[in-house]
Amino acid sequence: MDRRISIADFEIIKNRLFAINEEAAETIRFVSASPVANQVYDFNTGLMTAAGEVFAIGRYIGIHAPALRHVVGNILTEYSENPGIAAGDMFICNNPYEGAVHQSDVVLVAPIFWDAKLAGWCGSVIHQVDVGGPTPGQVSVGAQSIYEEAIPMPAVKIIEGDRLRKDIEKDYLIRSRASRLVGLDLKAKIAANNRMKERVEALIRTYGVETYLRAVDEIIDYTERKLREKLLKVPNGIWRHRAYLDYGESIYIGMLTMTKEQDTLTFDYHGSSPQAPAVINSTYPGLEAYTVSLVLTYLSFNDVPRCPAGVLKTIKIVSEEGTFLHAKWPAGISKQTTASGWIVRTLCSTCLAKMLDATEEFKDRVLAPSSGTLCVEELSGVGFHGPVLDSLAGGTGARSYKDGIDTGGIPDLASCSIVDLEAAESFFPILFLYRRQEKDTGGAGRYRGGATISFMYMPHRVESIPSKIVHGFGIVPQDVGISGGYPAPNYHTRIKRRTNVQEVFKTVDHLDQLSGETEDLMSISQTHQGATDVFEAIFSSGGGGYGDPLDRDPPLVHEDVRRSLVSLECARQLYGVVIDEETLEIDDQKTLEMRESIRNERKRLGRIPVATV
Amino acid sequence: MRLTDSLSIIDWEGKRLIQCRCGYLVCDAHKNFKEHVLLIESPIKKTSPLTDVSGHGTEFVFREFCCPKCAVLFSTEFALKGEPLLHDIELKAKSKRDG
Repeated sequence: MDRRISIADFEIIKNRLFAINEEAAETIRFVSASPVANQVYDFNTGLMTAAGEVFAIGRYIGIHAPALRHVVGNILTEYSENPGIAAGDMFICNNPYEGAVHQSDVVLVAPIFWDAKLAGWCGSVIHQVDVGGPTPGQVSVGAQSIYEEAIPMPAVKIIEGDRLRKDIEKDYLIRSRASRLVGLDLKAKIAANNRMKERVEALIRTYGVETYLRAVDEIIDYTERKLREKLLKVPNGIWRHRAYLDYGESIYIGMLTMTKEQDTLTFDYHGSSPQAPAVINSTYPGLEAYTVSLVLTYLSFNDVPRCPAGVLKTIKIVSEEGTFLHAKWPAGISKQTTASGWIVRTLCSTCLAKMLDATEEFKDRVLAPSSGTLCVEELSGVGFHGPVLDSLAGGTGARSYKDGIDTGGIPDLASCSIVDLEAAESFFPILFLYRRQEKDTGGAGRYRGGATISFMYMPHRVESIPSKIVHGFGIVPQDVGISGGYPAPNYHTRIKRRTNVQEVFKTVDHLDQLSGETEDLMSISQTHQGATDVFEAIFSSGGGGYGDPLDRDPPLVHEDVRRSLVSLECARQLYGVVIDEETLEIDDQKTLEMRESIRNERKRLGRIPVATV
Repeated sequence: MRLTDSLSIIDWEGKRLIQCRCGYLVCDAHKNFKEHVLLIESPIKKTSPLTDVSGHGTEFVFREFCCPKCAVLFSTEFALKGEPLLHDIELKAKSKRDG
């Protein structure tokens, strides 16, 4: 086929295709009644070639859309003859072994036909508040295989000839404890897919199918070219990182060796721990989706389209089946996105940040890792089911020339948000006692990592929250700083039972001010919350720092203290900046002495492991 | 040639060496610089008063790598106690002699 296309047509069609994703996202937000979709934006959409290669995705959950290619690839391989693929069909799927990232991220894909020929596909993914299984929400506490988690649904034709099949819809919804919300989310995805199909058809009608297909090919090629151009400016080398996931009594180690050779990047995950029985694992599509999403986050520089197919032409992924990052059936996958997947995110972001830091031309593009430890909780009771997703408000990592953004969110989930506090209180029977940026949560450095949020709440207008599943990981911080920056602290959850909160309600702003018995929750805990039990948490780390904290300009530390982002204790111990407790003024002489003292302490305590040159 | 914010790779008497910003020569460019600078190993709580170390028996350590001459902090890492140093940056630097 003649691949030539005018620059003008290419730019118009390219931008139109990404705008179609935006319109589909808007459609989901308007139709869905789930705060997960219409407030947090825990969804994404994508457009694909006839073969299922994803060439344009939305700017929401970075991992949702790249994995669509596996769902479509499987449909093309398995179902082309029986049950067949026709105009007006849509397939639903939440099987992680076929391309759903985990069971809660339910996929709906639709073929796009033109003149009776398959011209492409579109797809939508929304995180569902409950898709069944032994425990409410996404995590099947105590599961020993995928059979004890929410049973995954393979790709099934749920819409046939533009008609929703009632039998399949009922089979899907009967699994959920929140079938009305999940049912409406299904309609939201149908609406989004219909909107994408209509818009792509209109585009083809305007430009002709040949021009449309050339533009799609060129988006993929353009993405590949731009990425390869950048990689050629990066020195050849190897970057390694290891990250730790605690689950039960075990520690699972994720290992990445990232090799840059000429204009290719290879991500090799060999050396990672064997798979767990259930809950925390990832399948290959999830591993690939996280890797692609992080490459787009770190190397796009806003001039590379969000085109996973172009990324996949530029990178190689090497992994070993049977590890927790690339599990084989019947390993359970229910918490993939906030467990093994998050480890892949930490591995990739750390190696990519260090690679950019070693590149003279790109050193200003460094973004230290952030939100590397994470917690989510699922509340469930009469009339309410769903996750509290304040974990998406972590601070971003420091840059090589500037601090990270306080509560800036998660860079690879660029347009996602957290539920508005009042909306959360109307959706769940809870009352927030505070939600705030928390001091000392950004990694120290010449440039500081962004601070994250903390919050505290109690039940409200109910005798108790009967089911509260708190699931996180991160007994050790994961967001190492870059070039000597300090890491951000890990997540934290505590509950205090039978408190006096009703008496001190107006003044309390910290859990320690309440009477009662404190419980530190395990990384995955299924519990309840009584009427006077108060829950306090930091759900997500802040950002890692950049550069030696002793190089930070003292007035910047002073400003951090004034804004309650750094404590006096950390100003002194980590930054060597002495601030008078009474006047809050910097003591310049004592600061000089303190910094010299810390440097001397480093020399006194440090040992050289191997004799030097 | 840049390696990190404080470290670079220089040509020195026909060799490629890693050098600190203060001029201290660390080691050959292909080696793990962490093995040739000051290592301070501390409890992970050192990173922040908010770092939570409760709830699990596994012992992790926080490692800082500093210049023996000027004490600038080059890098940090977490590790299981006793775990080998991570060779996290390995540039394929050729010397002028190599062409």
